[in-house]
Amino acid sequence: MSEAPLLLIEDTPSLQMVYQAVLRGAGHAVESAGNATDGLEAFRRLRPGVVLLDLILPDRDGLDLMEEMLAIAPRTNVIVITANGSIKKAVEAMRAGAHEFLVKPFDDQRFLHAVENARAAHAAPVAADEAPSPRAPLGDFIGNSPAMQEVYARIRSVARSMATVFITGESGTGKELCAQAIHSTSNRASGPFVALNCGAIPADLLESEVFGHLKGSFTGAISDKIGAAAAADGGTLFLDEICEMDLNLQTKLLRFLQTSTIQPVGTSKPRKVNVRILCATNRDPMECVRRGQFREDLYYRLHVVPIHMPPLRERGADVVEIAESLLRRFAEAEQRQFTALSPEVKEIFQRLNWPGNVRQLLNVLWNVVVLNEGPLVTASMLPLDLRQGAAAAPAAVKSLGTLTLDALAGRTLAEIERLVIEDAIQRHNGSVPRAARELDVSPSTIYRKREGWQKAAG
Amino acid sequence: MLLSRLDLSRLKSLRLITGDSLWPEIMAQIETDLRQARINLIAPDSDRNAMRVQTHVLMAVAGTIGGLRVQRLAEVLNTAVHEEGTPTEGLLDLLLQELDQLCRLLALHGADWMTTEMETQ
Repeated sequence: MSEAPLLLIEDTPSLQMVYQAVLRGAGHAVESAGNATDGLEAFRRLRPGVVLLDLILPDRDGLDLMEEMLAIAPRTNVIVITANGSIKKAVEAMRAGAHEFLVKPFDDQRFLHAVENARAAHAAPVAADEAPSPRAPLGDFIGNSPAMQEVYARIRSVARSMATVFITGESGTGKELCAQAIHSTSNRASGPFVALNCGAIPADLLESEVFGHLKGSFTGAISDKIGAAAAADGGTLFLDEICEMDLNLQTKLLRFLQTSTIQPVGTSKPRKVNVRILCATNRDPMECVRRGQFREDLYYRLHVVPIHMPPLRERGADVVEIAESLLRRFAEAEQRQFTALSPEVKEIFQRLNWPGNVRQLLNVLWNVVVLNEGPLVTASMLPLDLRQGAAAAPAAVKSLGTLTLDALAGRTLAEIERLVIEDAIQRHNGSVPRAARELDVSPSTIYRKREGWQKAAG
Repeated sequence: MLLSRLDLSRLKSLRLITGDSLWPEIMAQIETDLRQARINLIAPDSDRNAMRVQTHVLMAVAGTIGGLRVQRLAEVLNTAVHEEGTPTEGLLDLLLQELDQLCRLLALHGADWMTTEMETQ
């Protein structure tokens, strides 16, 4: 059976002609429509695997049309096309399920790359674990708290797309694990996964780390170097601590995102690469934009699908599950007899603030395993500062529980606000997004307030 | 210099991609679309929404053939239109002037001339 043609929905006749010519020249069958009504009719008739959709159409909003098409055939890969002034709209489209977006005018290679990726993604078999339980743990993640179930569902829904994912979260929350899970769930899983920490490399070396260089192109370039972007060709490039990237290099990264072309230092010939970008930061990226440390246009290019990794203190009983798994691992490595956590330790772990998140938990357990014999982890084995922290923790926040208005009398407005927020989070099993919905504020407002409370607590 | 309004390398690459047989037809349609956008921009009922749509068209069409000045001015006007209260008259005048020059270039010389011109580059 021959493959269904691509469906092109573009209302400007000259652009429709150009896109058709480029696609047909590359061997693709194309059917075109000049408005949303004709486009939807052709979609129902042809059931194409890939649709190229202009977001600004004369008779209907393109985003609206895309949502209707995805409701009819959810596995369709829609590439949205827009001009520079409408990038925010394209970002909205990506969040609503578009596979990729292109900004007009675009060069033919970028255009064909996008189409070929979308076709390959459509042809790829659906992973067996996709359908039954979208909220089950993924990759190396441990834990089933509601906050993490939301993360798993988001990873699964975005994995098949080419959308850039912007992962935020405190240090030690598993941002790189999240990036790896996206990569291994995507149809690029057989390709390379290349991670680069932008904060760990000096600014003057970062360009050659990302884009590569030729031998002799600068002092110290003693041999040719393949940059991370070329090394990730056919796979995924993960840029960690993206907000630490030098502003000049941000400009080059933006051009790379727009053209899919790299130019290693010292070469005059650009090269096309096929890379999906994931990035992460432990800072508030919008705040970095406001401070002039991060380009706004790059922010909108990258911040297509945001995933926020919840801190360990919001993951309820996950901390116990992770601790038990780490305990088994360290006990085996250190040849100790540890088998379990005492009930008291489980309770302490769930009460602690864990400012260093999973990384801190890992250090604590390693310390316990190295210095003790087992078989049970007891409270007395825990480092002293942790026990002191646990003793102080209950005083910090008490559940609102059955408190009445009378019981709130004498408290400051800030204290009452904190009680209400903490109570909402607790009732939603640690889920900040759900608590935020109930309180009619954005999750970032709650995260900001909690950071403030932690700082105030020292 | 009229030619400074066109990035000939972009135009050349476009002709290579689309092929010689379609080239005159595509160039004629591009000129028609540019002129239609101009008519829509100065229509009596043209408002900020119409300007938003027409600058969207101009960015894409002019950019496709390497009409960089029109593309850039359309981008600037599009941004201004999105910001409520920002005056647009001066920008619109500038855009219309550049658009006229670009259309004149296409109309006077046509696809054949540009093909020859490109071959000498």
